[in-house]
Amino acid sequence: MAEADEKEPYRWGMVVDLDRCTGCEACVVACHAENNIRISGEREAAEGRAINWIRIERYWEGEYPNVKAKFMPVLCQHCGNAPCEPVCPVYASYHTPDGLNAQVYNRCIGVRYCGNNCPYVARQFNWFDPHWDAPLEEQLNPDVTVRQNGIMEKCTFCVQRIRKANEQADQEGRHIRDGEVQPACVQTCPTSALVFGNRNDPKSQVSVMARSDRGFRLLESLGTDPAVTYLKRLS
Amino acid sequence: MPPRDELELHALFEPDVDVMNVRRQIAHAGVPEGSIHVLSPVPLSGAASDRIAGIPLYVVTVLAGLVGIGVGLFFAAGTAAMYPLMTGGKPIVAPPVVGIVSYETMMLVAIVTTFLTTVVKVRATNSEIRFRDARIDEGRMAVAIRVPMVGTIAGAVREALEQAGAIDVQASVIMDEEETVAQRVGPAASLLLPIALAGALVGCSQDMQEQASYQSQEAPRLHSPEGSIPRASRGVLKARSTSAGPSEERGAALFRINCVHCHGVQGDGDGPVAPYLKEPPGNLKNDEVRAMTDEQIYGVLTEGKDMMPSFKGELSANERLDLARFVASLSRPTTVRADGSEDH
Amino acid sequence: MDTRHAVWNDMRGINRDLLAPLSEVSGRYLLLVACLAALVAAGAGAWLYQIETGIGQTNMHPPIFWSSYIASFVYWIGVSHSGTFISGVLRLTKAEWRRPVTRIAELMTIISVMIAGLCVFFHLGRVWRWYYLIPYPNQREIWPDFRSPLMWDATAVFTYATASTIYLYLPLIPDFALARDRVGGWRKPIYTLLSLGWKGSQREWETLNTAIRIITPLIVMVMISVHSIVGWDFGMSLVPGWHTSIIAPYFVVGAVHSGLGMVAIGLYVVRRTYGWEQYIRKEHFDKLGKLLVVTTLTLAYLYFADQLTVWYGKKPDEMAILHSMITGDYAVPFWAMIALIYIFPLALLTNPTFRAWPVGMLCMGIGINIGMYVERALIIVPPLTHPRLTYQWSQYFPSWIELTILTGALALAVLLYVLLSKFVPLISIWEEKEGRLHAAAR
Repeated sequence: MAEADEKEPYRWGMVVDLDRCTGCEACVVACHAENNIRISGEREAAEGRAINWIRIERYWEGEYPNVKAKFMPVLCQHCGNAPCEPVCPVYASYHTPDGLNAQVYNRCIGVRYCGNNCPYVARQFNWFDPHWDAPLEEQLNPDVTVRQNGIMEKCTFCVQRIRKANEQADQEGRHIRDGEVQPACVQTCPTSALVFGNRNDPKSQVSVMARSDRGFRLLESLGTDPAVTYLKRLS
Repeated sequence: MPPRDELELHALFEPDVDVMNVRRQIAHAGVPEGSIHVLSPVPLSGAASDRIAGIPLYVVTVLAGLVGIGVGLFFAAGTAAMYPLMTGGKPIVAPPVVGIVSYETMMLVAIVTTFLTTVVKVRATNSEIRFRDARIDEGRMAVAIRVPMVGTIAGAVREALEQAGAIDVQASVIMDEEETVAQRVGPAASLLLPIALAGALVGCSQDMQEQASYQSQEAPRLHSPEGSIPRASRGVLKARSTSAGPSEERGAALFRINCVHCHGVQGDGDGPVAPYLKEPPGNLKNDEVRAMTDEQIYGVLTEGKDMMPSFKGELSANERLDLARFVASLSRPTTVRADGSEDH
Repeated sequence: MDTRHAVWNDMRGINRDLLAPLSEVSGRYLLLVACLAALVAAGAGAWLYQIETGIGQTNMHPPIFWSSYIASFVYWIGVSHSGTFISGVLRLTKAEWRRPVTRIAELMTIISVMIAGLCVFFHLGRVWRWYYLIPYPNQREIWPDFRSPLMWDATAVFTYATASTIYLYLPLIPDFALARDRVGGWRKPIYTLLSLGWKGSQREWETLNTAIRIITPLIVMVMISVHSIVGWDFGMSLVPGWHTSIIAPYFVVGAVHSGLGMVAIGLYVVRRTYGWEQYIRKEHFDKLGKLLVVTTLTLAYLYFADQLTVWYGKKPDEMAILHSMITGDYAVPFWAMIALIYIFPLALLTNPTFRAWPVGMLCMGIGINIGMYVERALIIVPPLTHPRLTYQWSQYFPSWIELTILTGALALAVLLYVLLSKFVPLISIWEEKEGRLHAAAR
């Protein structure tokens, strides 16, 4: 359940401002760089297997010449009632106390039920072993596991950055400040369309923006209780 | 162990014999009911109310079922409560889940226990009987009666059998069982060992322990990867772009990329890394190097020397040859080229 | 109708006829085994290749994470319901016509369950870590998650496999004793061990009958629960088209439907191969056909109820899937399935002359099984190709590797059956004798 817990100071959430998003996909690239996402290659991408933890979904509206492109960044929503979590038979997917939907790579045996059950199709699977031509493997982030074939993966809200901030804050005997932790996509977004922070703190930027009257959540009627709020003026 | 002073009398009958009558006559001859066994190829009655040690079999089933429910409760509820992990907003101990799993385990334990009890009971029943004749399955009935060897009972039973119309009345002395259970089960059990071994090997994989990323505290790479270009070396680039270029120019480029950081631009052993090394890199213009042949320098490049690593995997043989010739040329001032070799 | 006396005299002939397959090994048999073994080897090679390189050898891609392997798993579990239904339900209803059919069907059951388990292994991404599914205490202090329908699946299928093996074995004990007395060579020690020293005394018969009578209702309950739980693998998810409450009964009835079709195939092949026209008679095909009519009607009713609700409700998620099947990408397999599992059976099996025609029943069985396999695939793929976020809509068709592996699995099922037929009497000899005595007594 996603209720504010006094013992747990953090509940991570994100706000995506669709009125600011230009669809530039800098977030996609940043995520690839930060999280060691493998290069799928042309053939795999043509078969629909390009791995993107965050993707810009583009929808066309209208007929020529009044065609409009609508786009929306979709990533793992870190649902409070995540449908992907209880269906994993080996607990490779579970909900952390700080509101993240965690994926445990070395526990996953590749049953892929979680992939089916995510209504946002946010989950990806490693269909083959990853390969980087030398020297590209030198740019891999050592804080993030390089996944082998047969394992599900998805956006983790850059949990490695969150954990680092946790450790730093613990050492200094304080809480994580608002804006101190930024996942790669949030850090890179040129228009600041992505905002990340602690929803248990009512004064954090994320909480303030999530209360906006432009706010809605994706597929909210399914009752998944996502941690990501989208903002869009609909008038 | 059955006592050795017993006989088993057995006889075949035509199938239309009155079994109850025969039993009565044999019992009349002084044999207790439990020692008379009627053998047939099909069950003579649909009776199915057998008791195991005085308890009806279905009681065993029900008790086993209750144990099975307990097993299911342990797995579905117990393990979740012992190690609670939140998933999908569902309760840690979810009643429908526990119900489903317990239902299945109840059935499993009930059926398996009933089966094992049946096996034990069948073995216990037929171990008292030694007689087995293939003619029973071809359409005969048979009786087997355990009688003491001494005394008149054996004779009286024999007479009763013959009066009832028995075919082929025989008597056999009770012998010990020839094969122990262990001897029979042994060969089957030996199959388990290779299966167990194969199963054990499965878990030995090293998934993801070796990471492609460059982890902290990992040993540094010793030389630049293939395709690296030295900085500020347009001249070298031009030289490299012609594949049929002279060997020394290639050697110069390779030297710049792979050797300069330790041995210095001129090969004096004063590269930028040199102060940090335990042993200073060699001065490539000294007498020792001057005295070496191209092959010997090639050998040092291939095998390494003291602290200097081997370049065998990193540079191809041709590249090492080019390098060796260039290093040899360092000692000969007149062969230093204007383009490339003197640049810094 | 024979008199009892005649039946007793026939017993020798019955033994000879029904034990004959155990001793004859013809050239055709060896050729069949060789061909099947080659197919199995090809499938095994393809599987090893897939393990080595990755599940990417299939044509799956997001959002289609489940495909032909899961369809095969569901299909084989469905086929496995044949044995339990025929043995269990017909024993409960004391239907005498079951007697030559039970062993053939029960053998199908345990082989199908094994192949179904194999299909799960084909599907796993990291199959070498399959043992994470087993609940055992370990130093990582972690157990499998029983809240997952797949763990209910694992428990249920394990229970079902164990129970079916027990249920096959119990009535086999007297027949193993029969074989022990007549068959020599390397099989004799195995028969001796497995026949538990059976002598045929009345106490043993009573024990056996008691055990069978207790286990029969239990195994029928297990059978219903197993395929319901397999259905709940889909029903518990949020995928539009899967999340429907009718899925559990629909799967159970579908399983019996395909299982009975497979039994029809088995009956015909066994009857034809061994010349057992005396034992597997037209009345058996007739009764089987009638059962098939019942399952066809029930299945059609459940399917219609489900799709009518979808069609009338007009929810966009689910309408997309319905349209793709009726007129879209999957129209050809959809209508083929409707014809094979509903229309042809209803049209033909309601005719008593057709039901009593063994070759016709064989074709019907084959058609129903092909149709049911397509039905399983159509349950899995169209809903996955039409997720709620339409940006991800996609298509799928199996790859060569998948088809090779699954063909190898089918060949393995047939191969195991063919090999077991040299070890297990395919018709329950003592039950056949008992049945004839019952018939003569009336």
